[in-house]
Amino acid sequence: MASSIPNLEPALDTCPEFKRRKRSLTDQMLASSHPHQRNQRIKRWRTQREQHIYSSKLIQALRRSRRTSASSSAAKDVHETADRVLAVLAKGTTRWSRAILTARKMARHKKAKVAANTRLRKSALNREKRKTPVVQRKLKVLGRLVPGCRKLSFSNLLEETSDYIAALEMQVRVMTAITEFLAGGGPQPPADDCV
Amino acid sequence: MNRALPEMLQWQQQQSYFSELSGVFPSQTSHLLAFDGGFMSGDSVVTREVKPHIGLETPSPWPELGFEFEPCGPSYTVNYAISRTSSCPPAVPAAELVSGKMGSAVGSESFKKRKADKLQNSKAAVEDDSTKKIKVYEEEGESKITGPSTSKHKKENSKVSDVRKPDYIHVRARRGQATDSHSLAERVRIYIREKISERMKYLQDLVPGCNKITGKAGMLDEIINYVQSLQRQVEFLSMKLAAVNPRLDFNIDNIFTKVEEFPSVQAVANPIHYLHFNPVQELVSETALRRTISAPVTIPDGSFLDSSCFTQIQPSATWDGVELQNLYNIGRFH
Repeated sequence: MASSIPNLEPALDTCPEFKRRKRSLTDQMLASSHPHQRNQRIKRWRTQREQHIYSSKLIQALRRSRRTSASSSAAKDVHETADRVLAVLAKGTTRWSRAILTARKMARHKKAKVAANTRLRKSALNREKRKTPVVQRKLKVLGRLVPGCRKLSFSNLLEETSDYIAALEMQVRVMTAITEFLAGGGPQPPADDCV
Repeated sequence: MNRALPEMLQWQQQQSYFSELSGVFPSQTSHLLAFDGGFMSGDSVVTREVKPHIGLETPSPWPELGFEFEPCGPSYTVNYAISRTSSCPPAVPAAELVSGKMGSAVGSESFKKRKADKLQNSKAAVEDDSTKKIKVYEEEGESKITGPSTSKHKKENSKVSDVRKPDYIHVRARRGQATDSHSLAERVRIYIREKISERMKYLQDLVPGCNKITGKAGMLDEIINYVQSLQRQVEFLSMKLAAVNPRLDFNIDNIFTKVEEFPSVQAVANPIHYLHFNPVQELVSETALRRTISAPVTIPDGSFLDSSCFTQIQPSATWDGVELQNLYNIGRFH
């Protein structure tokens, strides 16, 4: 039966795709509802071990970046380094981490220019008061805050946000600790001490 | 009518695909819930699965066939179609369907006949017939529901008022699963809403102060504020860290001792050369650092309200006994 039908190709084409999409969606659904996955997600940025790993990696990265002091603004450097190490720690499972890592590689200037242009054009078009629903507007704002999540569905955006918030909290904790240590109790550099 | 033939062929092709997919089914929930664009393609694939019985034609015109599942096709294809669209445990209804009255071989044959019939008959006259019969059939299926079914499905199915006793053998719809377009879309919407509310609840635990707020807009506001404040904090901290960065190189061995869980030989040996600087002060700062590192999550709470809280040391920290021992060792080394 199958061999005698000339129209097999389109059907064949759609079917594997269809299978793939279906399976990926089902897997996604299964994964999200699976309790083990949930616990893993919760514990992910909370453990002591993660903090230690992050802080040690951050310090190494800071040392390296200090030696090759790239840009003029040191604070921005530090911020980017911290973000990058955080994103690496996420191991590429979340969108925002991937967005942070790829944003570094792309030419920053080009990106800024293109983004500025598109924004200008959009604001010119949207002169009239378009009544977008409140939730939609807030979703867009949230999407802009979380890196790499501008065009995401509601539920995916929420998932990314929760992971991002947990990661940010850990980042704040570690950076507080390091700053505290360096500023508060660290011994002075030898130049100051040899009085 | 010209369209019908290639589509019929396509359906037959897919029928064989679906038989292959049998192993995958029990664990799968609805494929139709590929709502980010999947509907239309699902449309073309899925509609052909369910085939009308002898004398029953596919009710609606082709474009609308999207979710017009007729429960009276060959048993196992119906099984696949419907099991895919439902989130109920597929085991029992699958068994039901497979042991249904239509054998698969017979079904495919009759399907061919039906297809031929369909091509000849006019759509319109038969459409009403079949729709009604199918919907009636669904109602019968619904009435046997003991499994989970949302009230919405029941409502939608009870819309069908005329009850005409079908005089063919039908394979029933799965329990609790209506198969017209409205209920399917409804199910999709419910599913999405459940996902969203589940994630919102999770975020509510994450974001402090969200317990009192109900409603998506308010919660989104809170979440946005919280993310912004966290980002501002990181910005501020990075500025601060950049200011004290010169001390980083100098303190590097000390830092490694602090951050590593268990001291390697190197870490213990290296601090020797600077131990003649205030060891006691180091010890104190180390313990302070330990405390801040191992403090519970509530630190950001305090600190994002008031940035001066950064220098606070949370007294309610947990100690790691081995690390403390190590610290004392460093002090004693001097």
